[in-house]
Amino acid sequence: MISIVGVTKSYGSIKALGGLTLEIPSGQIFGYLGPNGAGKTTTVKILSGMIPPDSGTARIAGFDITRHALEVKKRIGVVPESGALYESLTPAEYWEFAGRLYHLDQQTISRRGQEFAELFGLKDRIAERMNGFSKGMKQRVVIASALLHNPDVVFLDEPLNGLDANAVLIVKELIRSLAKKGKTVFYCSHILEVVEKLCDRVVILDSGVVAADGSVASLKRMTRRTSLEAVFSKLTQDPEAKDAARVLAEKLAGEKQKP
Amino acid sequence: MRPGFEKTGADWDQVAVLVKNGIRLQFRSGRRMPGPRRLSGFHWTIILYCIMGFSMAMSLVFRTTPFLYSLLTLAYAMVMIGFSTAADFALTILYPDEEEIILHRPVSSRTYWLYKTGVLGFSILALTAALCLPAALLGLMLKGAPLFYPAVYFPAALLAGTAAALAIIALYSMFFSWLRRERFQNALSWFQILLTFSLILFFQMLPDAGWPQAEKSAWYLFLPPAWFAGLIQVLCGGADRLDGMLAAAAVLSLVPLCAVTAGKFSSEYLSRLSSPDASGISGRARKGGTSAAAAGRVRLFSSDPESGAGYLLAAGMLKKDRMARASAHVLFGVPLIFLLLDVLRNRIGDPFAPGSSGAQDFGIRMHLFFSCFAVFYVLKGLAYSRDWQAAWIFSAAPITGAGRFTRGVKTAVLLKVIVPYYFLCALLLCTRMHWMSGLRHALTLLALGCVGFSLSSFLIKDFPFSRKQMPGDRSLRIRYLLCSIPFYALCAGFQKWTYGDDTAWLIGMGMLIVVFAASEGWSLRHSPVCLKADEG
Repeated sequence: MISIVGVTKSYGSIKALGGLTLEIPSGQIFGYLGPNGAGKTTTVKILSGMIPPDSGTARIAGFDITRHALEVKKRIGVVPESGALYESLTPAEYWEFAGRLYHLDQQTISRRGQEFAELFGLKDRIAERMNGFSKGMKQRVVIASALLHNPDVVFLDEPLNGLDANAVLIVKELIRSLAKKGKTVFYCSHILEVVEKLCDRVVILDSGVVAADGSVASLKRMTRRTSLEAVFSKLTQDPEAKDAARVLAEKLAGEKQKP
Repeated sequence: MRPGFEKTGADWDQVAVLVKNGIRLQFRSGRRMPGPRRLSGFHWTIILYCIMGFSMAMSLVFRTTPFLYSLLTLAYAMVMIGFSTAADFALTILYPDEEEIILHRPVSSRTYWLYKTGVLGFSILALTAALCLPAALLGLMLKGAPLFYPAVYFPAALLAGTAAALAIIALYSMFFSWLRRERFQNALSWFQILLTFSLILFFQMLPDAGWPQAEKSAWYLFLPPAWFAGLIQVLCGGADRLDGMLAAAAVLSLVPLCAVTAGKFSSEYLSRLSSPDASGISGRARKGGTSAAAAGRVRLFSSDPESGAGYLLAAGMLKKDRMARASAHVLFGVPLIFLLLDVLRNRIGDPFAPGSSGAQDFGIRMHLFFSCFAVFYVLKGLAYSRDWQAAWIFSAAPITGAGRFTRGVKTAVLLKVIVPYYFLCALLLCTRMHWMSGLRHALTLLALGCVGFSLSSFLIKDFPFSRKQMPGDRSLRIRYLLCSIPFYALCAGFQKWTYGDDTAWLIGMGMLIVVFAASEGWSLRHSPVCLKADEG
């Protein structure tokens, strides 16, 4: 479903992606991990046609992301990391806006909007402007707007930002069900426990290149670690960082707090 | 219409929904408060422009020729539309958040272009209607104007408004083609300040150059509003050769402007605006922490840690935050320009000289008026910041008295903005009057300014750097001009009373110091114990 070959991207002298190559089949929940600045969001932006790659090619559902960008965009849904939306609108207005950009008819938008509102507990607030919404409530609206047009591929960049435990359970279940129906889920996150439980396959990106690729079990075997957190730490962390953190915490605790 | 649209490669349904949404957002208030729905910044801008357009037209309609009437009202409309476009450029023309809302959806570049053009066109239409419809209708009362004058005037005004908006977009785009995002936005804030000052200076200097004059001259070819006034003359009939040339310049000016700006509403352009700035990622190595000198200043001007925190925050933001910097510079730059012009024109007399009219001099009055507005609303201007989301710190930090924190902020504004401003005023005044008089006048203004600044904190409850800038907010602040009028009247009365007599002046200054101290004491005692962050 997603095919990436030798994609590179730089911002000035900073190399964000250095020749990324990946193949992601339909129906897979693909976990994309990496420390801050590893290139995760850049990958999502390239694959969703928001920015062009410097070199390399990427195809989604057989369409080249640069030459057939509109065809690609019709088939994808994106939850951006920032959770940006028009806060002066109501959820119903925002979904209508998003749905009509995919040529959904009014009836379908209303029906699906109602279904998402019910699922996410927004039924009573569907006609309220979102300026007063909490971060979690806005995130639910963004997730619904990404799925409203029933895309084949869903890019989720930190989708659980601000969500409460109940909403997290709902989103996780939704992701599993979508994958079972053959949708491809490209899941970027820092919450390793969720990735460990949810994803069929995990890629760990470090400084724009793939540091590890495989199922959670195979990564654990390969690195001889018992948790994904430990695998991630081994592959991407400075070995002395843990000790430095401990020393700093001890220093802080040792200093007298001024009244 | 739909087939025509679709031939261009644009999607009619998408354009319709995008434009509808863009217009809806302009009319939505940025903040959601309890109670009835409030008018948005855009609503207020239209109401204000209507009043201003009507006042301008009324003041001219019985005194000028149709050509001069068209010229002056169009010049005013072009400046106001140019300002609106400049002020809300980053929010409406190129709205970076749209990258994450729209760019991943199947919207073609042509559709996006039509959407942006549609929303801009609507803004120009609404603002031109507010500014120029009263002038068009009142134009019927012009001596020598034909009955169809409004029907000719309004379309010409629309073209003039479009030209002004496109010129600003072209200028900004030029900046952006040279600079990357962070630097572009930084340059933008300075450019807006410069643009404001240049336009004020330009319109103030016009009468000195003998403009506008009843006798038309070839020099009008260099004045864009005159092009559109010439177009009106041509369409009204009875135009001369110069009118024809002016009208041709009006029509031809739109061709390069459209050509230059046409590519600036593309999604590719938005993508470029939103792409991270490499210089921003790598970041230049900057000096961390507070220098010894700065720490000394903090200790000197703020007696407790909470004041110190307020002082450091405001001083840092005035230096680094583009929005805060622009607010302060524009507020105080405008009265400074008027003072400079009056000094250059020798219109400022020594208010303390025997036999002078004291503070009744027009230049001194105007300068006082603008200064009152500036000191009264500098705190309001500082409420807006790009980093407004960081305002959570106000409610999270263990501050025991909001008054002490606010006092630190006010101290920084006083020392970094207000005192330097009055120091510059004193320097300018001393070039036109005895240095002692200049100093006394500047000291009086400073004392009045400090009192006004202190009193304004009772009126403006927003915490500094805690509000998000919404489209129309900047224009909206002009309405505060009305609120500073009573304070101006008090200041003018004070000057009248104290300037005639040395003893009265000394007593008056003493009184101002007492009022300032009392106001600060009151504000410190009656501020809430804890800070509460506004919802922004």
